[in-house]
Amino acid sequence: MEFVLIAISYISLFLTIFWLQVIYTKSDKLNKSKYLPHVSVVIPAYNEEETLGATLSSVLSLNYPKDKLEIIVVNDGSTDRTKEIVGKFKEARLISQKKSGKAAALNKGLEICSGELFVCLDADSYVERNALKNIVNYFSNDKMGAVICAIKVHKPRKFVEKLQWFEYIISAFARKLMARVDVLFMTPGAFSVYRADVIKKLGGFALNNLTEDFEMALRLHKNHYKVKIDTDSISYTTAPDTVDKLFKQRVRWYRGFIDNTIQYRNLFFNKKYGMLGTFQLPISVLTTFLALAAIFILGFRFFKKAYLFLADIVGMGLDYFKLYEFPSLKTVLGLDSMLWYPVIIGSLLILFIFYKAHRNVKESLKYKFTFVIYFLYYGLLHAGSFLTALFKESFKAKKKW
Amino acid sequence: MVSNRRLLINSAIITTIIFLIGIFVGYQLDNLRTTDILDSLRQSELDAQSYTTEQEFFENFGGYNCELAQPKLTELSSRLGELGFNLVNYERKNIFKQRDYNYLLRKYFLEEIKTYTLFNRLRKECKLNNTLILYFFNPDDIESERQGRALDVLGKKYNGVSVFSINFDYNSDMMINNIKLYYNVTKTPTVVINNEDKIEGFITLEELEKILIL
Repeated sequence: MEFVLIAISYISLFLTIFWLQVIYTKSDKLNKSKYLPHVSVVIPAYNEEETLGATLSSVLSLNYPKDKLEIIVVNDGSTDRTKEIVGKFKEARLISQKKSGKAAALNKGLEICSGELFVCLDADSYVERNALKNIVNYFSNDKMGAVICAIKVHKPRKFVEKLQWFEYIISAFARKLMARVDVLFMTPGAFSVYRADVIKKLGGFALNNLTEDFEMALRLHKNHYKVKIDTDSISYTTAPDTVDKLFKQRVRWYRGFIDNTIQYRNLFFNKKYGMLGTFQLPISVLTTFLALAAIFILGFRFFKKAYLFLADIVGMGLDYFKLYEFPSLKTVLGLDSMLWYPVIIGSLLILFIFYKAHRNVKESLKYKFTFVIYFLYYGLLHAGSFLTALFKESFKAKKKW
Repeated sequence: MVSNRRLLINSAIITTIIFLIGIFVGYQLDNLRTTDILDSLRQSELDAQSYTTEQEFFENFGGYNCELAQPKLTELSSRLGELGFNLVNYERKNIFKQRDYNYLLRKYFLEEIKTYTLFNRLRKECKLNNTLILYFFNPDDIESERQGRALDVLGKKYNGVSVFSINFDYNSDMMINNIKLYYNVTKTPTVVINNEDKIEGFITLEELEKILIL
């Protein structure tokens, strides 16, 4: 057990230091040109009447020539007021289909769109004014397949939403660093811009895939296209507001991760795909399992201590506290250096990364209590959802979106 | 721009340096722990020697005083109890000094048995009401951990209680094995009270208190 913890500490520290160095490497210079291609924004919608209006408003507020903007809402068999809401926006075109899933809706949009760039925007997400104008600059590079923006949680009110607030801030920063070394392999639904002819040529979005956006990013890499992020461009997403919804979403994401990782296994350790194949993909799988192992080992220790504490309190009552003594040199000597040294070093580095991640998206640290909970316990939710996903994938459970 | 390969090599070097610093810190902590235990053991050794010398003196010249002897042994056993707690606690965190710990453990157990024997004799000769508890434990056993704490609390709650703990799995000294055979100890935790009552398995603080009152 101790050896596993040491191995986990070493690999975690190695990766943290690797990414810390990436923070200080210079990124490719972006040529700000007057290149303003024709863009199609495709919004797949399934019963999103509560947010769809605001999503469309945010697209219409984009700082981008309106004559170069095509807006298509693909109604994926909604039974709510989707049609009525889209009708209020004369600039938006409504296409309806029988319920066939998000990927099919995106493909429908892709089929009829006329833009040089194809934007996927979830019907519960909102984009900031300058996002598109910033992002199109990246497409002056012919090998650019997709560019995503930084995502923040839209108006977090509940505790669960606030937890995700931190997660999205960290994700945006992690994606920025990944993009710097050309290993960014996700194109989320909350405003990702693709080169339309490329994804048409690649066959559109994969049907029957739980994370079609992740699959598309891998397919772009497989065909040697780049995926970048512009963290000055922000979109806001509506995050799950209950633990149950969040857990289900994460199980779906992890199932997609497992499924696509297996599907694209030939990218692993393949020098043709640069750092993505030789470093990022293997490390993503390895760290997932190492994180699980760490959570199990530390969790086991924690629960053992908690059990002993409770058993002692029940057995001895207040007498138990006679054991407590003021901290002294012996307290320090009694600390497990193999556990505490990496924990202290790791925590300091992680706090520094949190600080940089907040600066990256021009945010200051808020929701401090939630932050502590996020820092200490959020990993448990990931561990639980990953294990559930692993279980479901192993037994080929039915896919639900 | 720095190449990715360079970044990976730098990361490996920096991580290894941080780990080496960690190993150095761990080594220094181990040194401090063994020094701390050794200092306490030396002190206990001197205390025991002082007691036996005093006893021999009074035996030779007459005038043996139970009231003088009892506090000395009580203090000695209490110090040994604290030392045993630290020794077990430190040994779990030890990385580099296994050989030193084996030596310290052996020395500690011998010192403990010696004090237990002296105290037992004093108890008989001076007809003391003190309670002597011999406690057999296994450091990897949860019930032993709980029993140890219950006995610690008992020792802190009642002045006349002295606890002597023996690692059941310690095989480096034949004497420990002989003591286990003498008391017929087969499992942990086992508690022997005043050389008479033997309790196998975990016993709560409340039950221990009841036995002491009886």
